[in-house]
Amino acid sequence: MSGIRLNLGCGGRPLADYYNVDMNTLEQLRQRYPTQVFPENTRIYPWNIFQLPFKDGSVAEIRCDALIEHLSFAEESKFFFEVGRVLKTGGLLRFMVPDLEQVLRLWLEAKDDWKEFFRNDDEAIRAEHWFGQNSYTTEQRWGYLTAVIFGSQNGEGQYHKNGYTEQKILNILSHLNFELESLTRERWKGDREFVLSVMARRA
Amino acid sequence: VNKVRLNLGCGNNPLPGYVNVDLNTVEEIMARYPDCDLRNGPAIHQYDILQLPFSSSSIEEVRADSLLEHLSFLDEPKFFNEVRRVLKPGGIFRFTVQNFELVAKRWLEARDEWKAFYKDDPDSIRQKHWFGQYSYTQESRWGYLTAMIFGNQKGVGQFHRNCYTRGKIEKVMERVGFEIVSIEDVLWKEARDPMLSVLAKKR
Repeated sequence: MSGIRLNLGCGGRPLADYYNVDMNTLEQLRQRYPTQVFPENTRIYPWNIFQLPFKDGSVAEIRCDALIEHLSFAEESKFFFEVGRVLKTGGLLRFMVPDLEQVLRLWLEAKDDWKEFFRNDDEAIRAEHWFGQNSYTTEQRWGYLTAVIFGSQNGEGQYHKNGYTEQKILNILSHLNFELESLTRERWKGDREFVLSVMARRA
Repeated sequence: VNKVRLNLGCGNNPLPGYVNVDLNTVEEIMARYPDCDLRNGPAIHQYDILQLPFSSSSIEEVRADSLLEHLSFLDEPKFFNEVRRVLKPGGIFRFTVQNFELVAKRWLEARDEWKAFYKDDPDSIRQKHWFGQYSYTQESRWGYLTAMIFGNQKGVGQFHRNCYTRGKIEKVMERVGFEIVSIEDVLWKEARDPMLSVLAKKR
């Protein structure tokens, strides 16, 4: 597909052939994801995602994975309207977002067995400390599962401020006059929390 | 004898007989709660709650209502340790915090009926807009219930970054060095969020 493609809030996942946009610099992202290899020519654009430097109807595709749960209630509408503004008619919006329904069900079912306070020193990050469980396990509430609700909190912007379900996404897309192409559930990075993966076109 | 008592994160509820502390000034709090006139009330001090300007073991009582859920994973242990530092041996620590077990259950039981984006202009605040619900109703997920999870987001500190259950509080208090006197279920403003009201003593 030709045309301008944006990957907003790219974090540790910049994509080839997209303008990769993030509030953090490449240096900051390298620090946060020490094991991640960023290609030599990676460029991260520090654009304001609520005022993108593109004309109305000029963008072919916008991707944003694990971004919208970081936006506050007030920013949510600004973001969706900005996406609607810059996308062409027929332009593609693709995003992934945690399934709050699934996450809260898992959290309620998990063991309420608090072990330790959160740590984010280098040693703890290397050891996947997640509140003393030293793993991404979701067997226990006070570890990675709580971080899926409130964000990993390992940098500026790394807080979650909103939640989504399949039905909320359908209602928002219809409110914004987007046509749903697909909505599937998958696991983040293959084995972690359930995320909703959405593709929709601007009508 | 001068017995100092602190009310931390007092918001629109500064108490007589306490040193009231908040991130926001009286003017900022009144802008957020237009029905509330605090001009002739007790003074509100902008102290750093993680480095309180009091010597160790000098405080009779610390209160903190609806404060803990606003602290990040990293600030959480700093706060508990600071409260313990300033309290006299046997000093009282009283706090209320949302009972996230009940919040999560209520949210899952509520209808998944998204109506409108959040609005926080003065008219919408007066009308209790809450995502187009125009009330504090807990019948739909996408209204006040979502704000119970992520905070009301009406000001700089008004985001929730963590959560608690009875089980977690018992373990945290034990770890930090407090003896629990009682934990009770209460409702915020007698009708809203399900809260846990905790009374503990410094060991």
